Amino acid sequence: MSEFYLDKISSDRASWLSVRQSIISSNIANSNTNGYKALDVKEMDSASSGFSTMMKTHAQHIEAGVGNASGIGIEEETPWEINHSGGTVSLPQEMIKSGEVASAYQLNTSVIKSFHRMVLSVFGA
Amino acid sequence: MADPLQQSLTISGAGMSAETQRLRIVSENIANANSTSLSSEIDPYRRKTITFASEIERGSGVSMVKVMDVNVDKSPFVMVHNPSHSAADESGMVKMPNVDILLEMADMRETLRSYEANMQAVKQARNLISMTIDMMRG
Repeated sequence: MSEFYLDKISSDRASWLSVRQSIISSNIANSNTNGYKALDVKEMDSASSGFSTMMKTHAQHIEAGVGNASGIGIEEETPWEINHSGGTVSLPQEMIKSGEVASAYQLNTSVIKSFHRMVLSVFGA
Repeated sequence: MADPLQQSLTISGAGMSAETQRLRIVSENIANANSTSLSSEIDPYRRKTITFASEIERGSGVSMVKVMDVNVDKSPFVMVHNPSHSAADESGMVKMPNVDILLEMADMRETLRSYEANMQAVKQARNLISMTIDMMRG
């Protein structure tokens, strides 16, 4: 573990949050699509920084879901409501999640900023 | 590997464009709410419906949205008694389009709300991007 391990955690956190935001966008865009099942990212597990995902054993395997290139697990979310055409997107739910992402992201960038200040202060900048 | 935040802008864009198409169909329906035919043999305007489908972009694996189909509503026409109309049949009934203005208004409202939700997602993604850039300001 390097002394700058916090950078790794923050960077993982930032990519997890941005994948979550991209899935929220996808859910909102598909809010009127028949039979679309709303998705969400799997919980970020701090103990194992490698996120659980399906094994790619061949270069041409495609990965299901959004933004999976970073290896972040995606699952169907527990829907608040199911509309008559089978879609499970609830706009209020997505808005709340989006708010959560915003505040978590803000916290994350603030942590990075203050950590960066600490590093700079060591060099007397 | 594309940036998920950039991708969410693209997805929301696709969402907004699909909602715009839907609004177009709604306006067509409302504009043609009284479009009868010229003779009793020909059907008047039929209400159009629109269906969305989610579409996975192969390159990036993001699931976007697209307009799958524009179809017609097969429900029966509204019959109105108006013997002086050129499209009236022997008993004086005229086939009016099967457009229900109330339904179209409700559809329009829903379109508006979905568009707003997409817009909110765009704003949010832009905020996150600018927060990232702000980190460089120290």
